[in-house]
Amino acid sequence: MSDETTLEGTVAALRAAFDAAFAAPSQGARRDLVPLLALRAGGAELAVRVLESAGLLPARVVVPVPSRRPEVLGVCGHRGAVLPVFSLARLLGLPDAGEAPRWMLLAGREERVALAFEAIEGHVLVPPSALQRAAGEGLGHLPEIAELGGAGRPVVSLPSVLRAITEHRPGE
Amino acid sequence: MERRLTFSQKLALGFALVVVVALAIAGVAVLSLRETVASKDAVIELAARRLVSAERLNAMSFRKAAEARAYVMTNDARYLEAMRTARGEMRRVLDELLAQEHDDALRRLLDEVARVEGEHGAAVDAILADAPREKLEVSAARLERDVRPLRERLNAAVETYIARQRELLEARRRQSTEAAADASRVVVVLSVAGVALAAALAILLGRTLSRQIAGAVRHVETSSAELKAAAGQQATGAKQQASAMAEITTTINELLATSRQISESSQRVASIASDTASAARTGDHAVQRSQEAVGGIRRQVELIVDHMLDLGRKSQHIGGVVEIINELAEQTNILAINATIEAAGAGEAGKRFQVVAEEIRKLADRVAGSTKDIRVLVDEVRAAVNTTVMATESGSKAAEAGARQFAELAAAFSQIARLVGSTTDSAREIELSTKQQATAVEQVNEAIANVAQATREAEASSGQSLQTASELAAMSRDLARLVQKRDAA
Repeated sequence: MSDETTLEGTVAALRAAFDAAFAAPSQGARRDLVPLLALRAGGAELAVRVLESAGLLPARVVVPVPSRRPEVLGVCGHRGAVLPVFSLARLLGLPDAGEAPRWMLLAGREERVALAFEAIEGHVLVPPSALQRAAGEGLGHLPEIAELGGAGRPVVSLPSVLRAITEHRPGE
Repeated sequence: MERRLTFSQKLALGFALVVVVALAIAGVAVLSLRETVASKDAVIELAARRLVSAERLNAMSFRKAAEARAYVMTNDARYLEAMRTARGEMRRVLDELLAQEHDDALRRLLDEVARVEGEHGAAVDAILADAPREKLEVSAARLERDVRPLRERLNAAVETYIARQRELLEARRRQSTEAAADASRVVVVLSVAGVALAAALAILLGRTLSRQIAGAVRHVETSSAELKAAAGQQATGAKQQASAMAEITTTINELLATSRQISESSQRVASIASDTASAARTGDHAVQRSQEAVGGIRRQVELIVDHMLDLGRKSQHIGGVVEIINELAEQTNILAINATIEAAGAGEAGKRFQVVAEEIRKLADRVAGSTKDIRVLVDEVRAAVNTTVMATESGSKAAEAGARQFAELAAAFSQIARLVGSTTDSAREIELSTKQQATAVEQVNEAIANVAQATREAEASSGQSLQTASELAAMSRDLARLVQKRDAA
């Protein structure tokens, strides 16, 4: 009985929140909050600023191609274009977790690349105060630490990663 | 051989021997007398007949001479015929004598008579042939001259034969007399021998019979003593047997009482076994009903298991649906994120769309949270279903085990019913056998009473036997004294 009461209450709360979203005046997007995507790559719990990426898509079909760079996993098709797919963990210097990548982040504007990782752990909005600069030198592609759930999570800088990719290209 | 003969046979044999000897003596005497009489008769008859024949020879000779002279004187043929008849008669008599005579001397005399008679006949015939032609005187002279010497010689020969025959007759008469005397002596000797044999037989029989009777008397004495001892032992045994019979009778009576008790006990056992069989049948029926109830429980449990498995399958299906919803929520979330990114890229115009995208993302997050709750609930339901299925399977197995145990219990009750039935039959057979045994024991008791009576009679009879053995011993002693006296005499 109590479970049914709880479920009915939950349904009522959801309905009320949904209705309230239409009833409340439009305030636009809250600029004071930073959307983060919590993810896991190479067994490490990381975060990415959502607005730094160009899109999120599942890593359905990745065609392996020969390359001297171990970070390159292959290529994939996206909206009529062929994108190179890189392993985010290998780009960050993390070891392989033995788990196949399931998701890809799109980065770059004109020269888009896909960064594959294992899992999405959530989408959160945090105030800017929850983002702290990493102590010490830190990793080159992980300049910040986000405070999520009482624990610090390194935040990947996609422009840094993209630069590393594009800067390395003339050497190939 | 003698020892096997009875006294009467021996006596009869002795008297028979004496009678045989007497008959032999009488037979010998009769034969001797007959022989003597026959010898006398033969002597008399033969001698007389031969003397008569000799005299007839003499007479025929004279007659023949007379007839010849008559013919010479008369020349009458009848005299001639008579003379020839007389000659033929003489020849016939002479032939008879020759045929009967075996003595050589007498046969020579008869041959001489025949030869002379032949010469005489020839001389007479010659004269008689001439007689009709000659004169009487001539014929007479020729007769006197030729025939007379021959006739004298014939008469002399006949006389010689007669004299010799008489001598022989006398000799045979004497011989017959001597034979009669010999027969008389033989009879006397046989009579004396018979008397001696009879006396010897009498002595021999007497001694043999005395010896055998004495031996038999000694045997009788010994046997009577043994019989006396045996009768004494028999009397003692009969007393012991009577006492044993009394003990046996007591034991048999106790056995009879025990048999009756066994019969009553077996009757009670049969009754109890019958009640037990009825109770076992009732228990069997109850077990069968319980078995049917357990079967129903088992079927219900199987139905519950089927329903639970169906519930498990449906909850699994719900889990699949939840997975779909979760997938949709995740995709919605991804789309919302992408919409947010696109809205941010659209600048100021995309702010409102960014809000909608944020709401969609929140809704997708809520859906994902609800699907997590649903997955947890579904997992709990599946775990509960699995637990219930396992519990119901355990219950089903327990029900099956209970059904098997009830089946074994039913079989055990059936076996108990059969065994109790067998026990009832056995108890009834024991009752019947015990009754038969009691009847047999009563019959044995009666037979024992008869045997006891027979034992008492045997005891009395053994006393009588003892007395009879004593009397027999006294009689044997008397008989022994009689035999010894006779032997001494």
